[in-house]
Amino acid sequence: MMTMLEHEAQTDESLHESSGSSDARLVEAARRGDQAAYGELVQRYEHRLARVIHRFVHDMDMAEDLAQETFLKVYERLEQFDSSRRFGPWLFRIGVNLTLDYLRRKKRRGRWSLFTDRYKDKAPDPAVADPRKALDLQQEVQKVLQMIPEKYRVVLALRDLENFSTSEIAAVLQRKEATIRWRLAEARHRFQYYWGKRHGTAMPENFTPSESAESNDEV
Amino acid sequence: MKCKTAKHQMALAVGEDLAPAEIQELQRHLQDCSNCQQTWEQHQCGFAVLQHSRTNEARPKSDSVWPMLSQRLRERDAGPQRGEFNGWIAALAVTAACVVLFVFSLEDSPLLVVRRQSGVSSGGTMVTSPDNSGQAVRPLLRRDEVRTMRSYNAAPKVDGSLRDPKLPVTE
Repeated sequence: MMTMLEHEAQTDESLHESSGSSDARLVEAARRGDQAAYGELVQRYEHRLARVIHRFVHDMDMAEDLAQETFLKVYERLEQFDSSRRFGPWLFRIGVNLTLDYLRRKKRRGRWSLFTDRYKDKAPDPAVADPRKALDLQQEVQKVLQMIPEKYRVVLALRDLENFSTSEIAAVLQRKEATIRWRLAEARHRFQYYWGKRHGTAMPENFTPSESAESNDEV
Repeated sequence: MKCKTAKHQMALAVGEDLAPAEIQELQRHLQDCSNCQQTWEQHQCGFAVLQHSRTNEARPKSDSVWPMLSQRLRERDAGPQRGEFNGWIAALAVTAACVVLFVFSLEDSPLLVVRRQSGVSSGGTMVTSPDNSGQAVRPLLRRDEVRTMRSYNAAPKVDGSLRDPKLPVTE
């Protein structure tokens, strides 16, 4: 599989050190009030950031709004940025955290709406035998991903869907790389397990997601 | 290699996240363990599903968020600096509180004693001598001092007579 760094060398949207020095110069210029320099940074990362956010919110309009909010927040916090570090992981950390916060708020609102009349469940349409059949593969994958706890899902999405390397994910999530590798293995196990359950190809050896996953992942 | 370790490593190997030495060790285990071979095939299927789903990537709808973002940044820079404004309010509130505290603390301050001794009343009780010549010849007394004097005057003398309870007091 092509690694993220190889992939990004082609797409020219890398978090890698090769663009790091240039990023640092642009950040310094933006700190001095040069908005054009900040604009260059935005245009360098915006599509990739919007794609990553879209992996979590599944709505491109919302993903672009959240990307814009991320860039606004980053601009306000430029003074806090440690110039000795890479800009990309810092930007994506803020973007991913903003997105996860948005999803948590949305989930809380969803729970509250269960007690209101605003969102009543529709009665199933007898004409449609199984609504799942109408969903394409991507929607099925999203449904399975939603069954995986957030801390594993984030790692799986960044590694297997967005092709970040484990060291980059470690930098974005501020965790040790060993922790990320552990979570990645657990996330792939869980994806495999839930996918098999939904599609009748469950693992044969009584596999269940690790019971000790919550306690052992901080390697 | 135990099957538990092999399963953990299979999950990493399927996405090429395992070191070459570990891969060789895993391959040796898979040659001998049919159960793990089956698991390996299923991991490959699951990973293939994930890889297939990422080929249908959504494309951003707008060319760039920068035009809208730069406008928001300009409005933000042109508008009142909320942080500084709040800072001024806090500073003013603290200053006002300090001034009020200072004024009330003057009641017992050495400065007030000096002013009292010079005959200037500052909300306290001024006591003058009984001859009441119009000048403040005695130091000023506070209310509690006046009360002490009154109780002393009301107490009976050794010979049984009462002291004069009335002491000329001017408020």
